[in-house]
Amino acid sequence: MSGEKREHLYKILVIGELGTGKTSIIKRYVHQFFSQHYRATIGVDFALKVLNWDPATIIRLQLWDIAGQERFGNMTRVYYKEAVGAFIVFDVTRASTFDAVVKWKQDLDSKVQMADGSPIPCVLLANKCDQQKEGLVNNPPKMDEYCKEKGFTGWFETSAKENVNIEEAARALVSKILLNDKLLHGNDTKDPTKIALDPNGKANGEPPNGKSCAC
Amino acid sequence: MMIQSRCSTETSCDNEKPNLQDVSECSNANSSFSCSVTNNSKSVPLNELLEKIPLAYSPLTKQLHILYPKQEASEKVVDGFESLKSRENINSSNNYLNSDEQLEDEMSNASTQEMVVSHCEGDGSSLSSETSHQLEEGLVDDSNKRKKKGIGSFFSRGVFLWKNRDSPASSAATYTSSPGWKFFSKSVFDHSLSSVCPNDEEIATASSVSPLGSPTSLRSSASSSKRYEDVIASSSALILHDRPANLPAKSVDEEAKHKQEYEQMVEAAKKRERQEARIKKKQMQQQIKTEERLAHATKIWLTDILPKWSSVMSSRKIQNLWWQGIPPCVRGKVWLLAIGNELNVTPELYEICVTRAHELLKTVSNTTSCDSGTEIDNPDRQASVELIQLDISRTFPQLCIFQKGGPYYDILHSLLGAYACYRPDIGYVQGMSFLAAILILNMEETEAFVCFANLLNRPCHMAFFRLDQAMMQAYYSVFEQLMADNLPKIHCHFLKSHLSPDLYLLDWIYTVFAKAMPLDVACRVWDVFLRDGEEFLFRTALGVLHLYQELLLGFDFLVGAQFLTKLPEDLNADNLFLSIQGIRMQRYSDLLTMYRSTCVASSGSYCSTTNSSGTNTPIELN
Repeated sequence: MSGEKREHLYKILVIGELGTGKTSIIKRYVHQFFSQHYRATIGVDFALKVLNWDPATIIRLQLWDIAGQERFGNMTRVYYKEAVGAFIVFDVTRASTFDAVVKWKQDLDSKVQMADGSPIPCVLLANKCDQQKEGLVNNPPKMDEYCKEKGFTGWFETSAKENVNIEEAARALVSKILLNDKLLHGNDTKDPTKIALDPNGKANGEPPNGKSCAC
Repeated sequence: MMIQSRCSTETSCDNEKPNLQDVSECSNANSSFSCSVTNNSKSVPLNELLEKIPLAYSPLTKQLHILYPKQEASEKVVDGFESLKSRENINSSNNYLNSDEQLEDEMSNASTQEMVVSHCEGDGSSLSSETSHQLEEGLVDDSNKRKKKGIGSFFSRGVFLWKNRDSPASSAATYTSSPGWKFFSKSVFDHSLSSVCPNDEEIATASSVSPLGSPTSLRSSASSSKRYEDVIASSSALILHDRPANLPAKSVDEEAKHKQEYEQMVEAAKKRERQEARIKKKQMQQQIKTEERLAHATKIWLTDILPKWSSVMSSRKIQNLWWQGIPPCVRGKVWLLAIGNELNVTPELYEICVTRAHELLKTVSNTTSCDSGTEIDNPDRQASVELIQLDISRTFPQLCIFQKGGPYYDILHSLLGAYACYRPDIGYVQGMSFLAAILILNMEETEAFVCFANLLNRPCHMAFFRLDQAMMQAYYSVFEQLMADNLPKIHCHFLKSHLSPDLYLLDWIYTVFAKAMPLDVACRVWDVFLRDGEEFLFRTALGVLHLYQELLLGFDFLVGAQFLTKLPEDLNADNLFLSIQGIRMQRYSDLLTMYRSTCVASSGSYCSTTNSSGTNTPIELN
């Protein structure tokens, strides 16, 4: 009653080459633990992270952990639908996974856009930074430049194992999404994304929060 | 007498010196025991009393256990008993202890390992020694086929037990309430053995090591362990202390009230433990029943079915037996026959492919940037080989046998590499590692490859592993239609919550449920999948949805999707199969024909798919 909470549901993709640690990052972020023993992801796995963003805002992140094998590329169109943000993950110990980042970014941008047609916010994660690094990631200014050029919201050196920077990266992505929301909804109060994603779901529990989604 | 002294040495290993309160509490756990304790407690000093009580602290469970005199129960165990006696003599002469000081000495001296061994002397040592023996051999000597088989059957047999241990139902407390150190305990030993066919060479080796080798003695010791059910002496050390003297005394009322509350709590705890013990006993009986059924089935499979496979396999009786699950020790043989070898894959072909895969791997690791390869499909194949390496250790990681350095790492690697060379047009696709692993767990390497190649050549898997979108869509559509027929409520709910079949069915089909289900249940699904063909994949999928219908109807998109990609650990095979039995699939082939033609018409990619799956093109052999 006193403070009506606004609630957002965001679909976030986690993509990148096979074995770069996508699942590990998600498990660390959502369940606060790390294991060497994750199974290979086949198709897609799901996770939910609830953020108490500020006293008036709850954010639910629906994380889509997508299998890394390039072969599955054709299937990902379905998975990308209605996503509002993405992480692209590469493995700092394998330069080839960094080389593939561009490909993933292009793939993402070609398959999903914001309502105004611009690319969805995407943060680059240089994972396994607790280990010996290889390639451009050793040169942060160059990485900044690279991200600017390729249209990334930003980049973070992360380690799911040592819990480095994962919260921070998520925070950066969510901030950007919120900002986009604000800009977009200056002239439009309806948010098709969230309604489509949440047709009958959580709104039941906390009644007409639907309108608050629209900010 | 002897037993008591044995136990006393074990008590001495206990680093939590139990106080009197614990003791009296545990004495209640078993009435026959309690009288001896109370008698003693009047005349005997505390530390002596403690030594007489067969309590042992298990470092695994962090609980005190009462040890019951199992050996007495069966005269067949006399051998073990004798050896125990001799050991006891050594023990008592060396370190039979009386004072607290010495007790602590002993505690620091006794290594955990020694403790375990001495505890298992009479009943389980044969397992512990053999297991570690096998593991070592498996790890050290990979080239020895026979030993690999040994370890294989050990693991596949163990599946049941692991599941029991992992299942949430058997929480820490119940799991530990069986004799002492469970891994080496008798009950485990019995289960694993009785699930094996009697003429398996495994048994032969086991009995040569074991002092209680003959099957009869095993049976009797099983029953003895039932009679002397171990009970947790103290799981939570709840002790009512007197009020410290420096504080004002409680009022009489208060005192009485506290005492009453205390007794209620203790009583509740005991009740819970009794209940857990009852549940455990029931599970155990269930388990024994299952094992007996399996042993019986094994005999039938070995004597009546396998020798005259082609003539009897389609009989109703056999089909029924098959539905109930193939006993783990004949599973590999049956699968091999059921899958067949339509492609005529020979061991020689496999050797050639393995060699190629290894060569390829060498060039990949030597020159990572040789994109100007000689063959056109080289870069892709290289990628395949690299991906395999990344995925192997992520295949059933909980079994810890496919990791680098694990006994099955090389086999899985070779098999998948060989397939990528055998079918470069398909290469390696994620999901294959799970299929190959399941086969490897149940049969020899070469056999597994033959099965793997033939299995993947079936139309449904071929479509999925070639990522033929049109055909995949056709299968999804068939599934949705069957779901609408069989489970209209779920179908409607999933439609509303946008939970489309591709999100969960993909994983199920790629791995034939190996990833989503507990391993033992997955194997049973495989049994019938190999009997009934791809149709059974969809039938099982619907069976799963039916089994969890009520839950699923309450889930939103995300919870539902999470649930379906990782089914509960306690998924019960019998319940699942009951559920599956209710699913009607009559329209399957008609629907498939219909959707295939519509999907193909709209995309036109069909021809390339099924033609090649029919007329297989193995690699050029030079």
